[in-house]
Amino acid sequence: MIARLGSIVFLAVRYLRARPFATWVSIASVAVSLIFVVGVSLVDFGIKKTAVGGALRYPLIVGPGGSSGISLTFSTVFHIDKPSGTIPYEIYEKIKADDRVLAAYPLAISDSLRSYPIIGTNEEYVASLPAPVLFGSRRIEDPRDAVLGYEVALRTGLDVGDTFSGTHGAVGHEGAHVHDDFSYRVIGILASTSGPADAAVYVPCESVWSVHRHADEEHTHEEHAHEEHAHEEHAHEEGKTEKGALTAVLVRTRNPVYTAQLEAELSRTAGVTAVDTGRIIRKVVDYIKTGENLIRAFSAVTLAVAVAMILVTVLMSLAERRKELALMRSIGIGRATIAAIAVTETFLMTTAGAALGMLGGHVAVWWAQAPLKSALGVTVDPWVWTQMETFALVAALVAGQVLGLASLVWTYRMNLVEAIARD
Amino acid sequence: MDIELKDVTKSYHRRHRSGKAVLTDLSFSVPSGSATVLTGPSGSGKTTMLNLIAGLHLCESGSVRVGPHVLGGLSESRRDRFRARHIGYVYQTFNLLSPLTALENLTVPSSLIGAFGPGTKARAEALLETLGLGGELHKRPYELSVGQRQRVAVARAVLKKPDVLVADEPTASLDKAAAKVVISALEGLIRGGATLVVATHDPQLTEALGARVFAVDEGRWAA
Ligand SMILES: Nc1ncnc2c1ncn2[C@@H]1O[C@H](COP(=O)(O)OP(=O)(O)OP(=O)(O)O)[C@@H](O)[C@H]1O
Ligand SMILES: [Mg+2]
Repeated sequence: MIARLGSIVFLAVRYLRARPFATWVSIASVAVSLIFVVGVSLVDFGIKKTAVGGALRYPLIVGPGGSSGISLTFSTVFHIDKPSGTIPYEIYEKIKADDRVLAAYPLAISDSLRSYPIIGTNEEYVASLPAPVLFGSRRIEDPRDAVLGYEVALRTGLDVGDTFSGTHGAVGHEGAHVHDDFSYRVIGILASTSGPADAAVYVPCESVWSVHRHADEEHTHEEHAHEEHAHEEHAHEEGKTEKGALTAVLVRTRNPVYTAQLEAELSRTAGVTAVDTGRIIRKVVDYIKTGENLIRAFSAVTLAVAVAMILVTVLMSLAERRKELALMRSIGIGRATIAAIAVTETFLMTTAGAALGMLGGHVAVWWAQAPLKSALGVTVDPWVWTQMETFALVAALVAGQVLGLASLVWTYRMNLVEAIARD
Repeated sequence: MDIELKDVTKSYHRRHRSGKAVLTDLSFSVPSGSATVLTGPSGSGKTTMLNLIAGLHLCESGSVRVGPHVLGGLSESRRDRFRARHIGYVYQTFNLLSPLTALENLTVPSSLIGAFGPGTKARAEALLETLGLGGELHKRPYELSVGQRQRVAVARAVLKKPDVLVADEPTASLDKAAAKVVISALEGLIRGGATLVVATHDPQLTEALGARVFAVDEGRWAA
């Protein structure tokens, strides 16, 4: 029995190798459709994971009035949008004192280091980041202390003890002037989270405020008319309080009901917007879903084409082999065995195609990680197994079986008398 | 195994119109362990008769019996099994599976019909050797001459020690020396108790096998 099975596979492989071009084109067509599915589903998965993860961490974000929920979420949670406007520090203090609030973190984002945002915040926030400390410490006590996210450390080459100066202007404003009169000292580097926390520099709020107080004093008269909002408001605030202004406050509430209450209450405050991030993320995920469905449909079509191609190849080769099949029958090889050879051929092609496609999809994503990161601001993990991948794999294998069935029917219907070898 | 054809009529149907009968009310029998040679002009129905005996064709009327098996009463898959167990077939020209080497053309089919045992490969090699193909074991059919292919086919049929061997012009493409080895291989089979039915024009073969001759005489088959 085992020997017989071995011979079936052996003969199937020999027949596949006897027509290498058709075989490889068939395998490649399945592989390409799977590379596509796997690649897209990994990117999709990465985006969703990042988005949902961010939303779960901070259900409520409070920022300046008039800012859109999406831009506020993107600038504070994902660091991929430029923050605009500020809110007074008192808002943070008020929120923090609220019983319904589990934790609140102040953010003052204004400068950047090589396009990575320098986030003015407090020790508590840095401690709450989902990344262990890789080197040094994360306790930003002195205004000059800075903790680097994993990616920042990797890209800038800065080490614990090194110093650097921020560039004025947040993300996307590189090339503006450097605050070389104020330098930070790296006190710690965080481990990778594969999330947005990797792509930021964390410093105490006080340093951000003091950098700009000095800067404003020096530059007030030379400033252009269309200087940043943040700047103008800095100037207004300056006299009133020791504490400067904040870009946003990230809030963790005790439960979703409180989130809704606080969102409503805070939004009534003049000059303040409160955003339920869960709602924003759901919106984003909905957008993605539309694309996802399109991609699913497209993948189904490419897979169907690939499968049709294998079917044609196998049936053509069976037709070419009519005489040999008749010969097999005359030797006494039964129809079931002949069908098994044909089924094995389709099975080997679809399986090889599926395996190559899976591997290829992951490798392609791994290879495209950096461009994806800069294009989407999301770290895509190439080595996770997604649900869509399971779906595609099952689809490919089922399709392979259907093909096998088609060749099986064909061999059973073949008329031996008609095909019998005679010259 | 003895063979008996009784009142066999066979014609080939061409798209609903029935063609002229190739064989009409043909009866003949072959005793177990003997050799019979079919001779007749081209188109007289020799291959057709061999195919009837092998169960590849069924006749419209009459019956074909091989040993205890009445072929008309067997389903297609049972006839497959009947061939696998009892019949060795050597075709006139087309005999080998193209992606397999000479040796594999013996071993793989043997394994596919469940007849492959521990000694099979060694026997296959020895057989090919005796048939003068020692140097051709690992050549594919397209690398073999017509005569070499025919000898591989004989080796495959002999390897399975069939109860009945049907052969269609097994020596047609062979020179005298090569024909001699094929003949002695067939003689070996008869000594082993097999029944032979061979379509041939080769008197050397007829004589060596001591075969009964069944010939077409004025359009009728007669012993
Ligand atoms: N599959 C078929 N379809 C239609 N006609 C057929 C078929 N096979 C054989 N015939 C016809 O039956 C007759 C006998 O053919 P057969 O092959 O048995 O002859 P043969 O005696 O073996 O001839 P040869 O010596 O040339 O091999 C021929 O007239 C042939 O045309
Ligand atoms: Mg013939």
